[in-house]
Amino acid sequence: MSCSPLCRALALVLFLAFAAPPAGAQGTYPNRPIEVVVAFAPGGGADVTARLLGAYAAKKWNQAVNVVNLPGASGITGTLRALTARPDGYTLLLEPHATASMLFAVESDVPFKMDGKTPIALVTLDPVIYTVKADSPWKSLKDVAEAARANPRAFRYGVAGVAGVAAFSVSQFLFSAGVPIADTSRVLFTGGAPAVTALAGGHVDFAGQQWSESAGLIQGGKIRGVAVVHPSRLPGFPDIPTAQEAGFPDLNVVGWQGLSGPKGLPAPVVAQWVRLIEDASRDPAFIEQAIRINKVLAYRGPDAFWAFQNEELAKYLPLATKMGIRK
Amino acid sequence: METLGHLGHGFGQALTPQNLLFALFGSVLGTLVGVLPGIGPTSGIAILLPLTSFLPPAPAIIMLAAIYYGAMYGGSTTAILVNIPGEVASVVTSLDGYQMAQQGRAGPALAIAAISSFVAGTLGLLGLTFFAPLLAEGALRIGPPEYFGLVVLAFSVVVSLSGPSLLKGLSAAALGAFVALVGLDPMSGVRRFTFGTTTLLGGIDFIAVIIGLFAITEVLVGVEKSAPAVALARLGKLMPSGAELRACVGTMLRATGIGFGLGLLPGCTPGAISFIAYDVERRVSRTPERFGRGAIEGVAAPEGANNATTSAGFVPLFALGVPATPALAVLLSGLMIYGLQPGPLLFEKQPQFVWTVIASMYIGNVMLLVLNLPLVGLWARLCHVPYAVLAPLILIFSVLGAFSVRNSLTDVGMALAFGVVGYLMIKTGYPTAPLVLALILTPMLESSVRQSLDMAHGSAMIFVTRPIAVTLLAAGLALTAWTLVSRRRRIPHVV
Amino acid sequence: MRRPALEIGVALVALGAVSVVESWRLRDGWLGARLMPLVIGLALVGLGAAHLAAPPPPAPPSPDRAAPGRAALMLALVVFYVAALPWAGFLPATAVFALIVVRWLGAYSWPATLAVTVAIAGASHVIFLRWLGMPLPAGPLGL
Repeated sequence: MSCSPLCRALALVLFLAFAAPPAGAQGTYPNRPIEVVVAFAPGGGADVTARLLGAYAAKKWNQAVNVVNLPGASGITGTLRALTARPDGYTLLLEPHATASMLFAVESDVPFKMDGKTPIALVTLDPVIYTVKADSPWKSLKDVAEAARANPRAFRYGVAGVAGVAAFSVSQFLFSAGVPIADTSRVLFTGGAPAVTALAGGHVDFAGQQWSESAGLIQGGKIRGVAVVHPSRLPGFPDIPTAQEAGFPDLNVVGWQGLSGPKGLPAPVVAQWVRLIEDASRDPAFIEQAIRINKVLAYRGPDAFWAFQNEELAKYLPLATKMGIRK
Repeated sequence: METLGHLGHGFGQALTPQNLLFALFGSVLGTLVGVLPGIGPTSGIAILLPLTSFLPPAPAIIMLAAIYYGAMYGGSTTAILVNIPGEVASVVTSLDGYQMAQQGRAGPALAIAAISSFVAGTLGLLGLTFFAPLLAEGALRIGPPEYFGLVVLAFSVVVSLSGPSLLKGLSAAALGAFVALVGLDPMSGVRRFTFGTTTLLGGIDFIAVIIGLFAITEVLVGVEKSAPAVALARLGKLMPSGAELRACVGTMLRATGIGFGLGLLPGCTPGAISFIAYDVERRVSRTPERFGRGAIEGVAAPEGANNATTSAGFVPLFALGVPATPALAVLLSGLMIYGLQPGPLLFEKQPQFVWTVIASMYIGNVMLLVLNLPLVGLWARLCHVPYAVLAPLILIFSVLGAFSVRNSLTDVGMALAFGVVGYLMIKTGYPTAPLVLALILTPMLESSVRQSLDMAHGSAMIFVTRPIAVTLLAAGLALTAWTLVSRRRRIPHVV
Repeated sequence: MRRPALEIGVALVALGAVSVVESWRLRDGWLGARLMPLVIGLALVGLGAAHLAAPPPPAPPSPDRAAPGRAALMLALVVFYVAALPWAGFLPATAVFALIVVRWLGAYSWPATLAVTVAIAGASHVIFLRWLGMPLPAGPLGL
């Protein structure tokens, strides 16, 4: 063989090395790309919020913000990796309700502690909408409660996961409506989309998934919302009464997404993100985009966010025990 | 017809030089992504989504859709050339495709894959164009009991693929089914077969298994041959003969039908569908013994089914806002950020947007055909790369591919383990296809059975009281019985 | 290879037993998470028993002269590569692996081997690290 393979190889490597993207400037945070870890597969609730926020931050700070998906083990794997990373502000965690308070309400041996993080801010809420099939005879949440009490065995409801948002939301509703849960037919699905799709096809009669999971089919007229768990009616759904209006003021299960980092994150980094998220929640364009991905912007600063998580835990712990899912 | 008018308008938009460029770019990226083992359309779209945030909506979506299609095309190239399926859906392609490559017919194999993909993808898009809302409505009627019937039907393919010994085939399938159970149960969250550790909590990833069973096994087997530079395939003609093409016409149409029909059902994975399409081809063929040994229909069928499935996946996406696969879920989130509101009202409220996207998908299909056919020669020349260079490349890419799925070295370890398993299976004559099929089908089987029983509060009567479910079940059982009987006739001395 | 049906049969029965035991151990409904492990476990036990009772025919002998030692060596090399990844870092481990394998399989001269190694390692680095941005382990050299 002549020199050509060697020359070609060297030329290739040199060319590729120079084709590399330029490094960032030195000095202020951030001076290199930031990674926001999402402990779930792309396309889910946390992922979408992460991408929205990431794009906003990237534009404001002129630095890449990459969303890294580390799915597995109900979010435990990714969360663990993010929380044990170096606390320099370049690895953050976009955590949803599932891996924060709900997880601790259900599992007793989680490989990380609830306070093993630096909470930065609550970003979005994904309210629960109780739904029935579009042509269902039940017109209100009270109708549903009555039907379930009358014939629990024939009452089929679909939930995504035994300890997911829907499991909590529907169980809370059934408890407060006085329905004997043990006699009902609970159908487990592997995700929100299959659950609402089954509802649309009439294979189950009731669901309590989040706004982002239910919106498509509601707008398409295949399923109908009978109540939304939120202080006010949702934009775009003026016909869905709030849980309070529907006669069930105690229902308070809600999905949410917030930003946190490993423990010991430097205060200036936290402050910078807090300012950004606060600004974003007042930016009309950002609000508009959030509504498009079916999220409610609900900014809370670090202390309020932490308090919120503790409130959530206090809410879900007894519920989980009552549901019999506390391990 | 109003629809054609909208479509024409859509083409007008999609055929601008700028949008064409993005379609091209997306197709190339998608193909590259599909070729690399372990990095499928889901990660591809997820990684490239941020790039599109700097673009206006239409070009961004055009690019993303092109990536999705491209990834489907790309996966088949390595499946044929080096027996490494780029993603799950290409596994079936390698059964006959690789055999063809070894017989020096890599060119025709790659070409028919491209042609079949184009035909099926385009026909599928026609279905999407004219029948989307109707089809979506029909797809909703398929619930857990019907899925169960479908899965039973698909399991009959296991019997088909078992080769001379049914016992070996079933054992491989049982092993695949077992592997699928490891990890957290997706429905109840219970930990199964984790033995108290956290490593297996995430389960055994499909892609890692496929990388091991195909790529790594292939290298382990290949290395045994003593010649220092083993050419993988001699290069013969580049295009299939006229007779071969004619023979494949029926195949492509059948594959389109199966791929599109089953692809409409959210939850029916492309992998399972391509197995079914392959099996159907075998059954209708007058010379089924060619399958598994380089039958060109054995490449045309899964490839066509794949692309028809890809087109079909957009039906529930646009019409109901329900993504059929994880890749589509990411695509959906991208679409929504750009203001697309999926649902039956989509076609009424945002016709320009939708039709531009659909038009660009037609163009993407054409573009991929145009890209891939001339490249057949280039790809086939890959076979001339000495094995001494190809083998380490394959292994490195396999290791990195397995790692990339969940950024975890555990998955790489799994891939290696399955590399050994695959090697042992080949040495002892156990077929690997049933293992993969069972791995794909078992989660579907489990969820459909449990959900059906939950719906009926524990009563198994639900399977016989729903018409569609009963039909599918009966068909599945009948098909299995027929396969068993015809095996007896063909191979009288073995069970 | 001698008839492996016996070992395979025993292995299947053992695996099946593990599955059934796990099914017993789980805390969920019999129609819930326990169902499939039980069913698959019983199937595995049955298939394993069938192996012992009526062993399937052995595999047809392979046409080429096989050398399992080479396969074992290749496996060992890959295992070493994977083990080295976390502490040596991506680029060094890949380069060393490529070097050894190319030299072993190709028996090229050293300059050619080095050239190929650089190309392989370089290409992997660019594709996986630069273009795809994968969080690959960084070794002591930060590569």
